[in-house]
Amino acid sequence: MPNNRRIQKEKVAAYATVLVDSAYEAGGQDKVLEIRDQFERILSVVRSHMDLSNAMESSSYTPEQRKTLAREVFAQADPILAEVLAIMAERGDFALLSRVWDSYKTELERKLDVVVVDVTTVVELDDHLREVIINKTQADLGHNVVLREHIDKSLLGGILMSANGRRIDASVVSQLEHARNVLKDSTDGGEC
Amino acid sequence: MKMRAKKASTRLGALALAAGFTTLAFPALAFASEEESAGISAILPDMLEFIPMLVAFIILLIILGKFGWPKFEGMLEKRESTIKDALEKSEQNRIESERVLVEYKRQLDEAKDQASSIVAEARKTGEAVQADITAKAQAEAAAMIEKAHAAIEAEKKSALAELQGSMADLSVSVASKIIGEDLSDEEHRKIIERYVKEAGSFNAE
Amino acid sequence: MTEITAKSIDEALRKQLDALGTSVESREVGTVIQVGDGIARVDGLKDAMAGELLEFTNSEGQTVYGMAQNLEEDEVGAVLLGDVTAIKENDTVKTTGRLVEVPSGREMLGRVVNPLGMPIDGKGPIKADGTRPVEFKAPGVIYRKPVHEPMQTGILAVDAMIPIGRGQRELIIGDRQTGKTAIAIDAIINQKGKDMICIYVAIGQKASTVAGVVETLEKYDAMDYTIIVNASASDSAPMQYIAPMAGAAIGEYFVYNGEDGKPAGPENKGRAVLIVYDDLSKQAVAYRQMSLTLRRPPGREAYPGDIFYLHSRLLERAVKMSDDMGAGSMTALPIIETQAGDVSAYIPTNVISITDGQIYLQTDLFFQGQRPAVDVGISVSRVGGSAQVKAMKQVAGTLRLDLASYRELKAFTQFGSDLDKATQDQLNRGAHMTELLKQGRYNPMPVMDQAVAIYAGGHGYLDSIPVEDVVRFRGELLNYLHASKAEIFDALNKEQKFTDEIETDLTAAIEAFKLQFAPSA
Repeated sequence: MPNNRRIQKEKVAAYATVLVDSAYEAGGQDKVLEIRDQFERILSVVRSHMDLSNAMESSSYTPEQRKTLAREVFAQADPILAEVLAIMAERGDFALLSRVWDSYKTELERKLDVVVVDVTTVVELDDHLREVIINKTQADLGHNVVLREHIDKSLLGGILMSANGRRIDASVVSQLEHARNVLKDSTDGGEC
Repeated sequence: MKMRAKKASTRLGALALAAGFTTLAFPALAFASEEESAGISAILPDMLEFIPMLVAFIILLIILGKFGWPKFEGMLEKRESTIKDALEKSEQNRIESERVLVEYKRQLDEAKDQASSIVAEARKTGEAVQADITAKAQAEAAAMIEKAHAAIEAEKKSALAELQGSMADLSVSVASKIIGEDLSDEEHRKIIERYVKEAGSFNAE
Repeated sequence: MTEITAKSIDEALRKQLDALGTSVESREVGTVIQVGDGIARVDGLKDAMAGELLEFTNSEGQTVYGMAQNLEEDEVGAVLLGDVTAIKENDTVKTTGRLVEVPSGREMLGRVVNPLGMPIDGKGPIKADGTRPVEFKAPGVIYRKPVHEPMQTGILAVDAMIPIGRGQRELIIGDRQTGKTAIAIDAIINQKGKDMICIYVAIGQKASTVAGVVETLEKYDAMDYTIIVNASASDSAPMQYIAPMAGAAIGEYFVYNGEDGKPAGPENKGRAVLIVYDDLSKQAVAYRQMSLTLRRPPGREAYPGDIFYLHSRLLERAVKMSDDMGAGSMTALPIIETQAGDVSAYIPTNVISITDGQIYLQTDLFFQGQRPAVDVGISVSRVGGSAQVKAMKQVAGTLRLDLASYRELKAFTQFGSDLDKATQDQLNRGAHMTELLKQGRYNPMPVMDQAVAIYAGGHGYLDSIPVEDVVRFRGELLNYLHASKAEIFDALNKEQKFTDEIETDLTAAIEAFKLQFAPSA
């Protein structure tokens, strides 16, 4: 049903645009990015809790019940985000969450010319490193870059950068893992 | 043979004639002894008896010669032919049996030949089979040895691989420990900078 | 052979370390939204290809491979190959840029591998010559050549009546317990010394059954040229689904490469491969499970709509290459299990229509003691006739006629008792010929032996022998001929057909043997 698909697409775009626009009006780029971070966390929570997403999508609750449920669950989130999520729940569009998330990122890129790059390292970055990373990623992506820095000791060293669903894994741990695989899977065990 | 038979029949006829004459010649002798009259008359037949007896004898002879003789001769001839047939048959049988004997002898020889050829063939087959079995057994033994070698080799290979794997694990875990603990922040940053510069593009396909 | 020393290992490790690159490329990553039944729904991965190999990494760093199946607007449906339970929601998924492929090469001979080409026989790692894609488009018309060489199965009933050629696809179909696998295994055993590479793909079978097959093949020295691909009943449905394709890919290596491992061509001959899919009904069931859990719409018998295409593209990979392409061949013997002899079910009809003929096995025949239980009346081979050796063709014609008239008469004379001499003779001949087709397991006969045996039967030399002695007579006759009249076989092998001279010699030899043959009762 192509019509249905187009409607869905438009719905998703509407939610995302509303979210970006209202966030931008409320607090400019910083607010938009803050909501982005919250959205990301909510998405991962929703994905790992099937009960929650089931409840939000369930038609056995009334729209009002779903709305209140969403409001309560996402009470700690930014009111703008919480309100949009509650409306999605009310209208039974909660299943579109990940598509809204994709659309939100596209809107962000289009309207604010900003791409968020997640950077994970073992030690905190200094200004020089930040500059190096931003220069590289801006050259790659062709948009302004905002870094989101994370510290993860399990990387052992190196850096993990991800943006737009792509990832550069230059961490020591994965290099070691790679080395281990090469060493192990190699069949050239001498001349016998 | 026929000649002989004819001769015999003539002889028989002469004998009967002689007997007739003897009876004609001495009837008186027989009477003389009865009447105890001595003299020559005793041996001379009484003519009164002699003539009728002679007539009767001649009549008998004629009748016999006319009717009895041919019958008698027919019987003899028949007998003669049966004997001849029997003789002929026995002769034939003898010849036949000789032939059969030869035949049997030949068959016996043939059978002997066949038996020996079968035995020879069987021996040949047996030898072939034996050679075959020996060859097969040898090949099998060789294959088994080969297989054992291969198994040992495989075992060795897998042992080596396993060892290599655990060595790799060990060295990687040692390396992680060293890197994780021994690097200073500054060194970490240097590594990061190097990696960022070396890393491929986000847009690379 | 080197000793295992610390030094050798150290050297090996160093060699590997040198080869290690440090450059890092960007990879596309996605997230698992939902996982269950061996299926993962993945968010992201906008550039994933259909059939692409995906790398799932769980929170402990363990890697599981998967295959992209459903490419939807905002997510990718993927099947997991391997440890299904290791993957949870929110785990990361990377694309690899490669379609699912299996390692292939000459070192795989004699090994047992899983559908991903990993050894599962404990004989150490396999050094592959290369990899080949699991999904591979079958070569087109101009690269092919009609089937013309025979692929001897060593089974009298099959080679005489349903001849199979190299590059043919011959279906083996029958109920359970009718000896379908036995025919395939006998065919593999018979390839010894015929420069043929055999691949046995076991799909959804008990591991013990597969172990039995391996043991049998080892016992008859058939493992040296055989590769076993095993997706046992305990493997996930996707593994069972890709197993036949993986087997075909492993086989294709030999078709497209010569003996030296270089690509085949006019000078470098490709190899002949025999591949047995045992059995495709289980693969269809596995694919049905996979498709239903991927939420593809079900069709007839709940199989997905593309089940026909699945089997047709798999079997189309059986090929006889043209001389320019190295003249290699891949002969496929797919096996289908029917339920209560129902060949009109969905999968059997599909595969029957795809293949170049079928060998029907019947339960009744099996229990009547007619083993192999091949129903020669309804079994056919659509292309094999041109691939039959001439000697066999000469004798098989009469065999076919004898058996056909026997079947007809037998059905007809079940009611009457008074039969004329000609009918009785025909019945007698038929009974003897049917008996002649019986053959024990793991006892393949060379094709010339078969031809001679059928010759003896077709010319009435068996008619006077008690029916129960026919098999013994056949065996002893062949032994006798091999042992003491080997020149007949030499001549037959040289001429490849019955000439007048050979016929005279053979007739004399058979008569001579008949004299010394002792009937058992």
